[in-house]
Amino acid sequence: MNILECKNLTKSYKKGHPVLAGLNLQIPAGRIVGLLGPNGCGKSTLIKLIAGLLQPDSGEISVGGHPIGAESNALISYLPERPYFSTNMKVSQLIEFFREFYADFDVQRAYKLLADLGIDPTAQLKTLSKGTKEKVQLILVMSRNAKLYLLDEPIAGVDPAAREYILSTIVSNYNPGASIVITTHLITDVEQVLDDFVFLGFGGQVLKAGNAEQTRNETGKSLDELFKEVFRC
Amino acid sequence: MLRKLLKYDLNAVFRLWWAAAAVSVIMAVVGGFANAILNADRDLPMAVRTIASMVQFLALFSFIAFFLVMLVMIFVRYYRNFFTDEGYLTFTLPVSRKALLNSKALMGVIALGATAGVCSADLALMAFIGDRDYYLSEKFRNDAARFFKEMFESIGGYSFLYALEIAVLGAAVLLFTVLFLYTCVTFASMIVKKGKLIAAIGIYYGANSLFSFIIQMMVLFVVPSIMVWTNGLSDQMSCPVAALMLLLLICYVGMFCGILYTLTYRMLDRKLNLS
Repeated sequence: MNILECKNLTKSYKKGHPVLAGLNLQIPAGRIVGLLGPNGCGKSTLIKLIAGLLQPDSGEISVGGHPIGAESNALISYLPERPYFSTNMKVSQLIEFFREFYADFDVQRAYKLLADLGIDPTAQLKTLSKGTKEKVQLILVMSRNAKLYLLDEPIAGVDPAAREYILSTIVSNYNPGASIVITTHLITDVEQVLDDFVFLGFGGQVLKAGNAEQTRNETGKSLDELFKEVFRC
Repeated sequence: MLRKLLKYDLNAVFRLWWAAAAVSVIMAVVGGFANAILNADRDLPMAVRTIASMVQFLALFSFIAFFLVMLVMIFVRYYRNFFTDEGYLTFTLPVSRKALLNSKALMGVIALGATAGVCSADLALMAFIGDRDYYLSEKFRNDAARFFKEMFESIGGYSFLYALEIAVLGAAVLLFTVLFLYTCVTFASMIVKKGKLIAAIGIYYGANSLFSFIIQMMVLFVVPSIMVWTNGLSDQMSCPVAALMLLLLICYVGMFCGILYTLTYRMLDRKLNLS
């Protein structure tokens, strides 16, 4: 069963310049999918459309059989590319906030992950560094037992050690029956964790998609090498 | 979910409300004492009278400032939650857009209603301190009793109906104030990509000025015509007509509230663009 389905999805910010033009995409349950493509190809736009932060010009999106709305939001755990919390709140207040609004939020997991990183739950967000804020955000997102995790550039702009931590947190904490969509252009770092991949070209066209392991075996190339081949300037 | 949203909205707004309310009460007490000084001795030196008058003015100004500060806080809460990075959290919560807007509207009405209530109490407190002997005297009780007796004798049971209608009208006006603000902020945030905050303030200021002008014109031309017409009515007819007019006014404000709510909801539901 597909957890996510996009049919003929079109979105443009300027008339005549579609970021996504008739995109069709299906993501089955229980897979980690890399949404890969160069900067500006529409990866974040697609993620925001699925999260309901943008409205498509045409086409349909369904998550777990629900159109985009409150019901689909209950199934999605979304990590945006930048911090989105009110900095006046304490970490513990954020955990309480997530607990109240998301029935699938695991408070104990959140506190355990915070303890693992030595983050004080009583600290106010404005007193934390940018990197720590991003880690808090990741912890909150991964502490949900969601059906679909949308991770928009989770490793962009962080050092290699942090990338490793982020990826291990994602892989070891997600709901096993769920799917994860990771957008990135840093393929080498995420390749190891991906089950499937989608190469998104300019205009939101799916240039290549498939099983990561199978593709590596068939072509004898890593996804990174394949990416460079497909998107050669 | 609406209850949960409202809890967070009210907590955020009332965090500062208490401090602002306390300042306004202190200013009411200070203003009351200034009032008492002015009432107690008519032959005070000019300098003392000027200072006491200025203190009174400042007290009154603080009540207006309190109301404006709350309006700004409601504006900031709405703008930050919906149209800054916080929107990524707000609009991905498992709640409908309607619930989000309802929560913000209720929060605005409750906060402004509480502010208006405290400002009214401040005015009463200022008047009481200013002329304490009179308000504690038998004369005040007799005056008040006579006032209510005469009112009840002239308009009878309609006094209760009027009180109810005025309360509903007050709530409707507060809702209109809040929704008008939200519509302007939403519209500005939809049409511009950068400088949303400046655009929101500009559009609100412009639309508010235009609306105030229309209201003033209506007061200037429509109200006198209505007064001339009602003066010609018999005593038996004047009470039901006045009640009906208040009802019409409530419907009129309610209709505008409905239009603003629909406009804002449609923009949030169909035009949201947190790119």
